Amino acid sequence: MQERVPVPDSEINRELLSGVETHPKWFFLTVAILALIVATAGGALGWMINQGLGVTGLNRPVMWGFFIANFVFWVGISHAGVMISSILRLSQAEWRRPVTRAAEVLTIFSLMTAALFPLMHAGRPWRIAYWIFPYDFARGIWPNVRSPLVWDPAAIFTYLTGATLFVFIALIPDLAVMRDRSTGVRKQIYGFLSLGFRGTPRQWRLQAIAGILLSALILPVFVSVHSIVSWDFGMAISVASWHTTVMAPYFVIGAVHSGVSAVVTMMALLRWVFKWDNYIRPEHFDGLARLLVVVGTAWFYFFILEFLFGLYSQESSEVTLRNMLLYEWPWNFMFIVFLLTSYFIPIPMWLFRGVRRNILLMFLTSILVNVGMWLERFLIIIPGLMRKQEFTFVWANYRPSVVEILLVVGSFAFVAMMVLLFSKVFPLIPLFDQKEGKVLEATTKIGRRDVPSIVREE
Amino acid sequence: MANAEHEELHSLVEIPRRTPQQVNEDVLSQTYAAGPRFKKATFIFGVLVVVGVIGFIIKAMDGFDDRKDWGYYAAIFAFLYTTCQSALLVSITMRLARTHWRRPLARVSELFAIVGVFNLIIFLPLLWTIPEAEGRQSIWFEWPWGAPRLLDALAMIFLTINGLALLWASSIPDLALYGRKYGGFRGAMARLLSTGWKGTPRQWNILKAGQIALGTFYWIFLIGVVFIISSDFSMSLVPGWLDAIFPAFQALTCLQAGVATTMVALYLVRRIGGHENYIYMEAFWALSKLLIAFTMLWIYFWFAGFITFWYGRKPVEENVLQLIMIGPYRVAFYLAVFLSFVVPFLILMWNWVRRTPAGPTIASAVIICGVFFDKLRLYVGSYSFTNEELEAALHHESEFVNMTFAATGPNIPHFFQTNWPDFTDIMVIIGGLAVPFFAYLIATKLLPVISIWETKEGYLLSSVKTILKRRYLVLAKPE
Repeated sequence: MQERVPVPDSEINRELLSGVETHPKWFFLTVAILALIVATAGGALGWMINQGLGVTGLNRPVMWGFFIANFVFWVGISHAGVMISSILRLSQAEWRRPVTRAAEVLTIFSLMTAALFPLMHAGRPWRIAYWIFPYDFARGIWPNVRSPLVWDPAAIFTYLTGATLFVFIALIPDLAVMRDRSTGVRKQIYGFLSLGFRGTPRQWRLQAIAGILLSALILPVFVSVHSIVSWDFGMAISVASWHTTVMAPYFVIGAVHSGVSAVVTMMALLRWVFKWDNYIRPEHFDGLARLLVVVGTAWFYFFILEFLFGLYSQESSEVTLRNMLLYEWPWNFMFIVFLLTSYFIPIPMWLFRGVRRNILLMFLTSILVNVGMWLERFLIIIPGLMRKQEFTFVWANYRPSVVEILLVVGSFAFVAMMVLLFSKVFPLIPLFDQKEGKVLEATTKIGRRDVPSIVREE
Repeated sequence: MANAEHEELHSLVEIPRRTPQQVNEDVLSQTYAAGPRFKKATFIFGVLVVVGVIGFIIKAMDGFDDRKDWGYYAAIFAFLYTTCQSALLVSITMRLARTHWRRPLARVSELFAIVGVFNLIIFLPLLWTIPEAEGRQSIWFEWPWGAPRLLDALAMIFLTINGLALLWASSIPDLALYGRKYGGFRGAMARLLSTGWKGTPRQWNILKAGQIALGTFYWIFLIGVVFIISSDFSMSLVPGWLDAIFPAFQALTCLQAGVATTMVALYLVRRIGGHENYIYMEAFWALSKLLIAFTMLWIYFWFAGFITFWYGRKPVEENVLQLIMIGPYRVAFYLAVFLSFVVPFLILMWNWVRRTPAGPTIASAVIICGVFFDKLRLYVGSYSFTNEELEAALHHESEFVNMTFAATGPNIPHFFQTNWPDFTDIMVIIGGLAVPFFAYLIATKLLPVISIWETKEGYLLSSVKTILKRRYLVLAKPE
């Protein structure tokens, strides 16, 4: 049942633009703290570049560690935007309206963050240029276009471009509102960005068509990005547990699981911080939780396939790896935490309406999912490499160094800081979408009851 | 052009409205009456089913030891569960998602539960064609209790019973109506099956909760059955075939084929069954959007599996590709890709085509043909290997296995030999293809093919509103 709160259009503008038009102290304090963490991580990065990758925990045969796990994690989070905006828009889920912008913004900043980690992982980031550009014809050094490692940047930058366009197109009507409400340089900037939007029927039509087209066109990119990331692993035949056909959909659905959970976390924070109780309501958390039950269960199905078919082969390397995950400390502890946090705690809880509509519980459970999903990436990458060789004397352990931990923590602070800064310049809930939702609201009298109804959009 | 398209997108899809009495009269009279066309069609399909049964008996007289003889039979079974038994998912999913457009197609898809009974009968003899789990690669490993045969049988039996229970539960209010209107044996049976339905609020609550519970269980059972059937009756019968996405790919095929089967049935019920007033265009339009999504996912899942093998280039993976894609069953494979993806995608990508009943129906019929060829290449190919070869593969013992795992070349026998259908196989195929028509025709006379109560509920929850001179459909959301 929808819990509608009637808010006049002028109030919608005022309340949803409060982040842009007011300057509370907490905002600057929070940004300063986050910036400090980011700066510390930047310092650690500088130290690592100066000293080389020896300051990390990477060592033969585990040459992919925290950086790559974190890269995969942030690419996963970036799947929130398209899942929420594109798929829910195409399927006309009415509860999507307050959620779309924040999800799209999360997509952009998490993708940007993800793209940084392969650069860090290179140790000497400028050497990435060797890999992308054929800079030296004479020595015949060419990028290997058959390698998934070259497909990665192509996919990520295509997705980043598409996602940015997606946000921009949806922002245009709101930019016009902000232009009309501001003065001076801000008015000029918003005026420039709003591309002369006046709200004529033709402009609305074009904006709607552009949104639908982008929604449809970005879907293949959305699927391809994490598929390609998964093939970084799936194409390798030398590491037990990596070379499996299920990797691509397993990664994509896992990305959606973690991405949508991250949106839940963010929506709860936005509701508390900006006091948007009239817009981000329990029904929206309810909708997201229902979606997550389906997505999470689908993800768990793929997890079962991945795990079971590793054992099915009865090859010693695969069995050894599963044995390590199930019985060896601390991997068994991490494995259990991963399963509990990503599936067995949140999903059964979300089956209850009381939990789905309790914002604190939704906030906590959505964080749990991402703890689990981060661990999942870690457990996919590192144990396989530790047991890469058949001979036990070349097995090795991996412990992340302080530098790696700082950079991972810094990435979380960076994304949070960028979202906050975005909220200072642009509204995080689309104004026009809220108003459109109001126009489409109706009531139907059935017997003695007034039932909330919706005008169908087709 | 863009304006015109946009205008069209936002136009109201009119839902034809009938009074509750008219709905009762129209649907119940269609269920009760059996015209000469119906009788003739039932007779013809019944004869074809008998042909299939004779083909089966001839096969069975030779025993079940030579698995190669049962490849086409297994393919027909897999084809029927992929298309017909999966069709129920359409109604279940759309009910869980609370879509309004599901109402005309809810019963049309649930009636396929009757086909499930026939398919269960087809399935049971297949249990004797697969080897024990011991001594070979199997999803059951060393599971001690009844794996794989007993557990496979139980899974199929539960799935079928679950489907029937769902069909019965969803039909209770309509059965009560039927029982009140008609006497005789059919009326008495309807009264018995309606279990004293009076339409009290408590009964409605129980009905709706039951539908959700049975629907959820059906989903779980179907995915489980697809998992074990695709593993036990296909993948694990090929030495060295390790393909984790295969059960998921088969489950996805079930979703695509389930939608396609429902669409074709919907069209036939509308055109031949005379239910134009209840099966309106919107159902086709909405289903076609689902269908194009599943069609694109089909190629994605196939590609995800293919590229991992193709890029990995392990000898055994090359051999598997040889068997099911580019070798003896390549024609079936090319047809499967062409009919399951290329043609339907080219048809369904156009919105104006999706907004017609005929366009999505043609695409659906093409997809069903694609599923048929897909099952042929997978199951006939998988049924080529002997038990000894499977056992040898596990222990890496024989020359055959060395060739399988370590090299490719024209000398590996079963990866390169086509198992063509013989006369009994053709009889079985004809009979198997006739089964859904025969069973469905019978089912339409047992239960109303349009869900009367859901149709009337839809009338209650929808109305038309005018905004800025345009008329729009308003849908009430009581839940």
